[in-house]
Amino acid sequence: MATTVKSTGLDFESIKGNLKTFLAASDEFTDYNFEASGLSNILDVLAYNTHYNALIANYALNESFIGTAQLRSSLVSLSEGIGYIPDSKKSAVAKVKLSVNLSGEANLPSKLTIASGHVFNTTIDGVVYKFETIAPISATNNGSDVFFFKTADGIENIDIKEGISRTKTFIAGPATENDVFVIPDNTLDLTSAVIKVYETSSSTSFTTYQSILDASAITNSSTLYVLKEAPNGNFELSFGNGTTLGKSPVAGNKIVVEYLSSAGSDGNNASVFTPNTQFSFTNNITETVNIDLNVTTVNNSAGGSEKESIESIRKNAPFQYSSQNRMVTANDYSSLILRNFSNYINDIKTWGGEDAQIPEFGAVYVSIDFIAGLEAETIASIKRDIEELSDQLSIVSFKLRFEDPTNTFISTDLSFEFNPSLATLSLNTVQDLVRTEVEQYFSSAVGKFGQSFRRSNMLSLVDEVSSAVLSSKSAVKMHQRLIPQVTVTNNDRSVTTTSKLGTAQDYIVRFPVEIQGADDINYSITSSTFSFQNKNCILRNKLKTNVIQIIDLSTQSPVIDNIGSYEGSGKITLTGFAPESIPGGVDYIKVIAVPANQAAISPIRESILQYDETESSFRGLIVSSQ
Amino acid sequence: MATKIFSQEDGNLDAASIVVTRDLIYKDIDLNFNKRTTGDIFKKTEAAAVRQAIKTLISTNRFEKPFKPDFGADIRSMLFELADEKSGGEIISRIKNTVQQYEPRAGVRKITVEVSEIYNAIDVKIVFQILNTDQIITYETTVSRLV
Repeated sequence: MATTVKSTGLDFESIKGNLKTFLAASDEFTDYNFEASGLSNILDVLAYNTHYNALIANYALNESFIGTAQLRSSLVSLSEGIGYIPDSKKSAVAKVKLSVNLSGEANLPSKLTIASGHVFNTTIDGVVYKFETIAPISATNNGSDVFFFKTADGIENIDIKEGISRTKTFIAGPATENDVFVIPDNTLDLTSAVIKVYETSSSTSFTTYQSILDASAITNSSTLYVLKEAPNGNFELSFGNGTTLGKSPVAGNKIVVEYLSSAGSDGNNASVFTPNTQFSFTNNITETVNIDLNVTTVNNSAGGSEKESIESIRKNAPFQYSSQNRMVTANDYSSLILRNFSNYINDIKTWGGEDAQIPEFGAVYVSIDFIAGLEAETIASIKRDIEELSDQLSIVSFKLRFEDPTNTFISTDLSFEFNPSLATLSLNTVQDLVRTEVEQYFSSAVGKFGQSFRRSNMLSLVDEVSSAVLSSKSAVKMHQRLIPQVTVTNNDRSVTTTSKLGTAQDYIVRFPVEIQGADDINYSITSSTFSFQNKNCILRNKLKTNVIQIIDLSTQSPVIDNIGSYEGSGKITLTGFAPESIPGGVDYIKVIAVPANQAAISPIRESILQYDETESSFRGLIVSSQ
Repeated sequence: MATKIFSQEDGNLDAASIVVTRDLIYKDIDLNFNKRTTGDIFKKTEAAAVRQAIKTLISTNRFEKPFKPDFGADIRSMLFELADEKSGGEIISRIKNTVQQYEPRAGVRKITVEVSEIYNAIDVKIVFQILNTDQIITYETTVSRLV
């Protein structure tokens, strides 16, 4: 007789089956096999109860680990345990120039100031959003009674941030209460929060507390706060304990929390900003003057983002924990830059200078794939902010170097054998299906740092499109875009781009993998068309050599016999290259190369692979064999 | 003549009295859960066990039994349907199908249904045979709306 009930199967049928096995070993009851019997009903209750408890135990266990938790509240709590505060919504930021023209006004003051919180309206997709200045700005007379406002650093491009100002006021209780101050608003932007502590409810002077995340040293008198998402999605504010985690407000103190309630990513791409109210100032004879502010948009709003997703928390929290808020290893740079600028970044790659193309010891290289739509000046500004972050957190004397991501485009000339008798679909339909399958492969397999192209994986997907596809093969090419222009970031963070069309210039194009060696049949290097000496030309290597020529497309003869060369390592050098124009409404020339190994292309460092569907082709060859 | 030797455990089998019992095929818990003097609960055996199963089937609604959504004759739901000449046939069909599917020990001989529109009640009489004993059992029940 079975003396125990097996407890490994946790689904209802297994549990009930185990109970039946147990009863079968006894002759006390025999009707357990009949669904309508009383015994079966009793077994249902027992099995259902056990199944239900097993599920609860399973869920509870899953929710206890960062790797398996499914509820946002669980991940927020678990990440809090390792010192990680998930990102809140972040407000979009735009850059504007502000000025007032006071010509005709008398008794002008020498300086005008706009306090932080001056509101501007903008409309995106029919919805009105509010933006506001985030720091006081001031202006002096330029001599023509026009006042241009500048930040405290003297910069004319002024940040305005999306969001509606909100204030919450609390009175601190006795220290023994260990108060947590609840802010019932899930749209709070953590980066906008300002915490002021007043001595009493009627005091006018206050102490501004600092986020514990920005603290480099903590003493018992540090004025620090912790503001973090609560499991219910709202936010909770707490302070130190008066000893190890800094000063705590004492009973009777008034705590004022000022923050922006953000619309997140909905606030991106606003371009026209209108002041909500007129600018008002007092002139030298104490009269109040109201006048319209002139607003010029420098950068459209960008950087607004939603709360950090649960998958992002799952990925970032352990890395943050291991980096301990210090930039020591290359991965520390990735995780800390992501923590602070994740709303602008698609993907990031960092590596030590010893692994750079030209080794540079004592440097860390960062390559960032920014989200689409960011303007050059915004990117320059973010890079400056990352450098400041690195100055604070990196090892002394380590230098930070930015490498812009280089996109290497992959195209495929794919052909497959197709037997129409094995499928009801036509050749054209199957060709379209193959094209879609290849597009899906590229969209999931490449596009981020470190993601490789593998031809065999692609072809195996093509073979599975239909039973009528008998075999497939593909020739692979890669190209990079040569843009004849120079971009410079100026000291005031503005960006200048100068076209070099028609000007002789040296260029280096570097592919992430080796290029096929020269032979006497196929060209390893070609290019898209450009105009040179009033002729439509392309770049092409001379057969059997590494020399690159400019070829007249109409005569197929060289216009320039030697404009540069290529190396097997992937480097192409062009010397004194001066294309005059580029047809097709684009600003780049495609420099196309045949990789030495067409079966696999693995990008390194700052390289990212992309799919080029315009250069790809798909052909089905009808066969009758099986 | 050889002498029969029995083990100490068995003793002298020739002297032991022979008891013959009839094996009970069907043994089920009595769902009334009445207590016997020994403290145990009563059992239902043989025809009584099958009759109890038929009763359970008829009084169970769909989706009542975990992981078996189509278990039961679902008669109570008919109390709230429009009572017309087709109602009786529908109920008979439901009972017949569910007994065939879930109670292989019983063969339905006859089902009589009376739908009482005045009292919002359904009278059901089911005559069935215990298949391996040829016993004929009649089970009658009435389901009605609460008033």
